[in-house]
Amino acid sequence: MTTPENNDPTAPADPQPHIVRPPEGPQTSPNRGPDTGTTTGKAGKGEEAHQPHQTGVRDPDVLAVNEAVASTVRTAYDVLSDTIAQGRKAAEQFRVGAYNVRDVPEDLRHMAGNLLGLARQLSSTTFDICEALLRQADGVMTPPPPGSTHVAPFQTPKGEQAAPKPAAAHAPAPAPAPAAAAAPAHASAPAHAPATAPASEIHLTVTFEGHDSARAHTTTISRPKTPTGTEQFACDGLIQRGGSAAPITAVAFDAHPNGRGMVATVYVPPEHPKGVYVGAVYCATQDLPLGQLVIEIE
Amino acid sequence: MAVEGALLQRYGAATRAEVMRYLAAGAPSPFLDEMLADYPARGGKMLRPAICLANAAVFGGEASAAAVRAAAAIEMLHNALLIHDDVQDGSELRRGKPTLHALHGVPLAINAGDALLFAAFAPLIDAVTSLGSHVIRQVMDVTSTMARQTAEGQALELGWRDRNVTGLTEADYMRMALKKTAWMGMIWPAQLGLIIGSRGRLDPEMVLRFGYFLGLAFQIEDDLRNLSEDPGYGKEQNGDLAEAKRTLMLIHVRTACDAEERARLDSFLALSREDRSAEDVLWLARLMHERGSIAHARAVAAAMAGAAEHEFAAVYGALPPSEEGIFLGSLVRWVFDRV
Repeated sequence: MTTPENNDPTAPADPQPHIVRPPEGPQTSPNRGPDTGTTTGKAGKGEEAHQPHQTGVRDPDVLAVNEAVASTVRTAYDVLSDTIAQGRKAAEQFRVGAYNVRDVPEDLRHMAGNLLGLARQLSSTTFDICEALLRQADGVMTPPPPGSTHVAPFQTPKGEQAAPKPAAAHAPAPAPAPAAAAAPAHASAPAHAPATAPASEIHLTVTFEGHDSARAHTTTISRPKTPTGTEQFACDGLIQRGGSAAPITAVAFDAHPNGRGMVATVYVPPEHPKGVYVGAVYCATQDLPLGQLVIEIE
Repeated sequence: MAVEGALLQRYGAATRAEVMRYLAAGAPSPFLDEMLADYPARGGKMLRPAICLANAAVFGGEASAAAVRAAAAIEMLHNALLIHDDVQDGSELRRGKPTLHALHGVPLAINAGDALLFAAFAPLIDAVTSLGSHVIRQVMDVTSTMARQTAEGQALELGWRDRNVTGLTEADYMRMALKKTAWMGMIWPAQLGLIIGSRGRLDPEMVLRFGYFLGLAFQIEDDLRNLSEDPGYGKEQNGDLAEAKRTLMLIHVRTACDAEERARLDSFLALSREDRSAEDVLWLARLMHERGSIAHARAVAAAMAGAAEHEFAAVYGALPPSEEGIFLGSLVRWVFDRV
């Protein structure tokens, strides 16, 4: 793979003292035309340097050798040209391939541009967030005037605002919805404030699954004294009044999809005996029951 | 040659110091450090680094620190390939001493060659890092091309020998010598020097032809010396014949001899190395003389030298005269005068 080394100090200073120098032009010229490579051809630039070695040489045998050597030089140029051409062809194929290392700088530039764009957006978003936080902080730092803070009452069924009715003695007085924002908090009611149930009660919608001829007699339950999640509502098993049928225990509570209080879903087995069933409704945040759930299977 | 010799000595010293500096870096490693430094410490002509440094000076005004690092990379890579080359050829001597695999065994020698091969990239990268991406790109291009060409050339020579390929032409031989010898030995170092010296402003192909013909002359002369009374580098006389190495002389004699001689020659080539007798080797050596193969090879080597001079003048002739330019031009004659 590499050229041999020759460091032998005992080697002769000139082991080939009788080197035959190239005859004339062809061996020193890249011209590979059909007329070059002969002793009668035009001499190349190296002619002067080698002419002395060949001066007077006109022996036919020597001429034949010279022609062969000249042909070899021509072949050498052809070999080099072929090799270079193959290398260029390979490089060209590589260059137009699926991916070229020459594309790396451009790809890097593109990627860096994308990164800068992302960084710019991230910075802009960050500043927007900071600005919003600052505005909110300004608002917090300015205390509201006494009595201007409005805290909405705990969830009020929307359906109860449709039909106003006289408020209970301990409940806030209902007010027209458009005036809600301007009126003092203690004198106003939310826009969806119930009109048919006092604020101390929650509208209860009862739906049934399983049995197709059951109906509910309960429409409201008491409002819990503290905010309570729907998952904290529960009901005792519904016991048959005057009978010994199995209690109905599958009762689930959820918020009404339209904001109309609570929804109790009662599963009544299809062949369950007829009768009135009663069970207490509780919530996890207080001990007193919120009311009784009364259903009737007909 | 005094001026050129002094330049070669100066370049060699700078390169050797840089090589040793890079080899000394890193934590001590048993079974490796000693072997990495073995071949570089044995000396060597430092021809390849000198070609690089001279070209850097010719095209850049000075042999910069970057050029010295590139020269160190060249020398390290060259020594790595020598280790592997010795294993592939089963050589016993290198620079007058036992080869690395003869001293430490083939596995450790190959490992050391691998390590030296990759260690060479450290000075090469250091050399070009500060010169910009364009220069880096050019250096990587010519280096990868050199690696490919060198491997192809080595494959040709080993394949011809091991598969007993006959019927080769002179063009085949030149293609092999171009790839195996010239590219790594002359073309690549010159290209590295040109790229670094010119900061990538010149086309590396400028120096390709000069390196090619110089390498061809070098290889043919080397093959001729193997048939001389003193092969010079520790090998036996006619060792290439015993190994059936495909040289220009062998290719020539096979076409110049008669049918009977060709039949004997083919039988000789078909034998294994151990089965080739000394008598047959001497017969082949005589046949080469009788059929003019030696004279032909000498003439071709001289012709290649002439072509190299021509190409040298085409590339370097227009440049201002300099010590480095004279040195590069003298390499053509040095091919034949070297000791």
